[in-house]
Amino acid sequence: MKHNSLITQTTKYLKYILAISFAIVICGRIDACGPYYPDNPGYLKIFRSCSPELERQWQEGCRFQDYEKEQNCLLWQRITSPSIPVDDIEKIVYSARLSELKDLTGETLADNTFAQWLSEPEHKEDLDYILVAKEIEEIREYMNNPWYYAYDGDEEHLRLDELMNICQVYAGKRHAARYALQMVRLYFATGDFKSCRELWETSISGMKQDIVTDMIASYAGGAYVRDGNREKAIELFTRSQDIGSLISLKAWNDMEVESEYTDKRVMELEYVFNRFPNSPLLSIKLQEYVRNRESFVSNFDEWKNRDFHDPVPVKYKWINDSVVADDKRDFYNELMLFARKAISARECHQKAMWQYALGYLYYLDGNLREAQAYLKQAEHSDATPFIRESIRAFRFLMDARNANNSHAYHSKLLRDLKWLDEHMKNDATLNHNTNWQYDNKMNWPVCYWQDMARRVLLGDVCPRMEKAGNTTLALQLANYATNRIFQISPLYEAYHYGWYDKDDPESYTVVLPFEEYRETWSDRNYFDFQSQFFEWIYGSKADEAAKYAERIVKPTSDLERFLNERSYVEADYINEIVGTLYLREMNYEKASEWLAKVSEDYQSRTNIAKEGYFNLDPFRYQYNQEQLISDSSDYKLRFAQEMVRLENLINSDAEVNRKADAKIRYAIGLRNSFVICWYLTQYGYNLGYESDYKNNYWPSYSSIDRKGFKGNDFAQNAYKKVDALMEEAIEEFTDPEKAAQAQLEMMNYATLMVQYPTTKAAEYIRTRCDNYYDYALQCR
Amino acid sequence: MKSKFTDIRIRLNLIICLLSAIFLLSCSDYSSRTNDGCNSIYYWRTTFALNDAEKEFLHKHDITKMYVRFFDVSSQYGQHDNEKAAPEATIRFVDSIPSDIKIVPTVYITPGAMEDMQTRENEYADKIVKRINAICRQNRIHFNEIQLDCDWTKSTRIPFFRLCEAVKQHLDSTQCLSSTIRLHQLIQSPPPVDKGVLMVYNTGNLMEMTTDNSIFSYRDIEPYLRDNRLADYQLPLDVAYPTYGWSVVYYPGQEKYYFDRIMRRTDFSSYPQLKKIGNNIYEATSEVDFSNNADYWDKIYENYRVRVERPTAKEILKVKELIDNQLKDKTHNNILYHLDETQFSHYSDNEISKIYTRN
Repeated sequence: MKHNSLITQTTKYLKYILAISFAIVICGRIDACGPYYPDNPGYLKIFRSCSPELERQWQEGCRFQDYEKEQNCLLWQRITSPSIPVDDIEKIVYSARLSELKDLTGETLADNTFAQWLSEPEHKEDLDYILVAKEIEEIREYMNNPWYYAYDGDEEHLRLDELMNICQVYAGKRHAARYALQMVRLYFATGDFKSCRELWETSISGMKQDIVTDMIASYAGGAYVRDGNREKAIELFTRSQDIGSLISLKAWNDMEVESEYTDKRVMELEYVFNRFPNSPLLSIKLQEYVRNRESFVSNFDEWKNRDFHDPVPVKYKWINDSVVADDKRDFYNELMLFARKAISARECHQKAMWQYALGYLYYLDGNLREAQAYLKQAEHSDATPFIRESIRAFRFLMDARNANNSHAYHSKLLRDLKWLDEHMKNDATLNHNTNWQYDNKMNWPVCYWQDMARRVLLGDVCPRMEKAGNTTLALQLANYATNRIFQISPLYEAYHYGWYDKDDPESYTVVLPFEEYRETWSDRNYFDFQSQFFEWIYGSKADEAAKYAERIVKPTSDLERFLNERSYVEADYINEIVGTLYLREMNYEKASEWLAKVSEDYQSRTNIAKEGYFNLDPFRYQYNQEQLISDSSDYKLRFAQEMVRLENLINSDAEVNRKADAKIRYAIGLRNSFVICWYLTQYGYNLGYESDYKNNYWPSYSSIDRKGFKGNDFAQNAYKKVDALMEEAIEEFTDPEKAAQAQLEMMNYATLMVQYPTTKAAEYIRTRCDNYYDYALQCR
Repeated sequence: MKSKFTDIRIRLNLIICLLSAIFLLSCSDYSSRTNDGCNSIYYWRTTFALNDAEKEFLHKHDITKMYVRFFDVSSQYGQHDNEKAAPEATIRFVDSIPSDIKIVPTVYITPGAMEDMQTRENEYADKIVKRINAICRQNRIHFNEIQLDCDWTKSTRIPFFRLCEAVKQHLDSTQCLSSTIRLHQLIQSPPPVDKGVLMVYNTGNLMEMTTDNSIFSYRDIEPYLRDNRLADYQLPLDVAYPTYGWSVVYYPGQEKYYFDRIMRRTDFSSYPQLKKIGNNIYEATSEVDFSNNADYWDKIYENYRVRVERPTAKEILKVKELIDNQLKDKTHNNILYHLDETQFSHYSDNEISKIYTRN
């Protein structure tokens, strides 16, 4: 198996689309919403400077709710009691429902110290505010529900009027800003921006700056925008660090003349950095830009469809048949220049992040010396735990370039994999309800750490290990990288497509454990025969696969034990593949040995069996009529055993006609195993990679056609042997009746009629010539 | 002097009379709720506005009841947490309701939404009724019937029936619940509603070019009505007939024609590129551009086929005769689907009156 180098791994999505569409069309079955084919590991985007949650918050609301939440809870803690944990405050202020707060001593809040504090009579003022705020929030939430239909004087509006009144008449100081915040929210909900501005000017602007007045400032800024007062709006958005609003106002346009950068995106970064040098937004933007460089962001449309506010537009262009990101070099040059400035800025507390980014950009450019230098700097700088782990992942990637078959590297690899595996375990969620990409485990970045494993192991370590001569370890690593996620997150949302199933015509979705999916699912199993591990083992020599199978049972090191325990190593699955690889290599003795180990039950749940193959007699020509067999049990094994028997006959039988007969039968079996009975030596699926893209989809080729196997060296070798055996056999026959019968079986009617015109076979042909296409010469 | 027993008998008789009167009254109330003997029509647009011709139509045909589609309930994917099914295409009232017309708020529930409501039928019943009430309050509409329209099948039958039960819980004694009944649903037990409206339209397969008429075809309808099925149906039924037409466009595939879209236009006399190749089928000999301005795309291309579908009054009356025969012992009303001035020009007043005629 060969993977392109990183430089040449330009995004060949057209090929993907074509190959996958082709496969789907000729399969005649479509699977809604995945699973999709796994990405080429080289295309996985693994630069990581912000968490998915932070990214989500930004994309969905252009705000950082976590920051606001944290600051607001800390403020509550300051005005109440330092002994109340922030988590308890957050539960009351953000998570609890109104009904719970009306029963503070009830069961659900029994352990909450803030609830206990609020329930004391002397803290009634605080509780009153929280109840008002919570009620406003819940009414607004209800009014945003699609089921809500407003009518004049409905109870929601009446109640909001009452609550507004409560806010307006509040005369205390303790919660003046908070009540004002509720009023501002209500003004916004009713489109009363004038009152919002007035409230800001008359009372809030003079209050002490904190998170609450900042939140009001953000609303007030919006009200000024609507009044056309851009300057005032920018002032208030800057005060409240409302970067989303600043961006939407294109506030950085004002500084265009002062900037040394020409690219708007870098100017935007500069604008944000100059005002908020440690803003979380910088980490989000940085991730987007570096990942664009990794490969263009393919989920742009998806973001757009989800109504995200700030999708990153991706320009792309075609180079030959590949789509590549069309970002001018200038942009990345400017981005790298900016990163260097950020690193040297005194007020920047995220130096490690910028060093990591700069190192990664150099890595993508192939400048490994600079990449190493910045990676080292990043490793020695202060960083958040999140960035620290990203840097370690980058180190893992860099070190993979030096992967070798030494004991020292194996030990280091084991250490790294233990670290990676811990992260995979912690990250992969078992809750399929909250994981919207749940059914796309094969491909989409469900889990960053699994992407990391695939990128580094499948993309770098496995090819190097194979080159170093340790294919067994390469296969073990490929299996781990592919299948570990199914152990950690063992549920799969399988979709049954009823349209194609006469026995079960309803379409439905079932969530079931992987084990059960493998054993009982009546539709095709995508994971075991279209995975990257499968690609690896299917691309190996049979002897190597056999060695791997033996090593699963008897691992020789801690690394192997670690990998095998975390891989999919069901004996039937592996043995069946090994046996098939031997069939492909025409080593029928070995094939028999391995296939004999495969259980009946497993054979019946392979895709080939599910799709109704294993029914043709491999030793008969299958031309204008299908020659079926009555018993398809142990189909591959019986084929292999018969081939072994024929080999023995060919090698040992002294009777010439019997030996020639055996050669003909052997040749027909061999030929069929690479044409109409392709499933003896192939699996019929591919991933759409370049390497197997050239191969065709076997089932679409008829029995007489060898064209489907043009790119298949195993088939071409087999055909040569078939032709030689047939020629030998024909020459060896001493009995003309037997020779004619052989020609008849091979459908060489013209030859038969010319060379053996007086035989029974010729007589047979004469009476049925129309059915035999006027003696058409059969293409073997 | 009357004996004590006579006195008791008189009292007993009085009580029986009183109970009988109450029973009869309640029956007449039920009867008035379920079958009020009037001409009715569906209103299936998203904006309620009647032009003069439509008002005239209502008046001329003495139509006093209108089934108005208030909103659809459809599946929602990821838009609102915890709301798998949500309302869509809510009607907007531009005109007020004519004073002599009773309105039946009608809610169309997509099969997907019905699946999504499963196990939460009570909650959704509450939402549906609450929303209908809100729309009626805002638009000053009084109603005493709600109709649910759902193409329920074997898999959604139970949740739909549960939903009906739950909706009924929200209605007062003056209100009733009805539901549409599609022909294929007749073989199953009726939903737990007070009455049904048999939908005698959309009876054929729209997707197939080989369908004769997907809106209405005697050949498609008759098999569903065999064995005097309506006479035995355990639910009072009114019957809705189609008075609309459309054209169905198909594009040529390798082996067959595939559904492309529906067009409102049914008159192609001014388009010579459309060659009539069958009773109601045209084939485009070259591109046909129906767009009447640059911004509006409306074209069909060479070899596309168009099937014009509009039931004739004769066909409708033939089916009506079949239905009336089966419902001869059951009083029922006839309903037109749907109010649209552009469609009525294809039927004479006399034909409309015949469709409305009750047996």
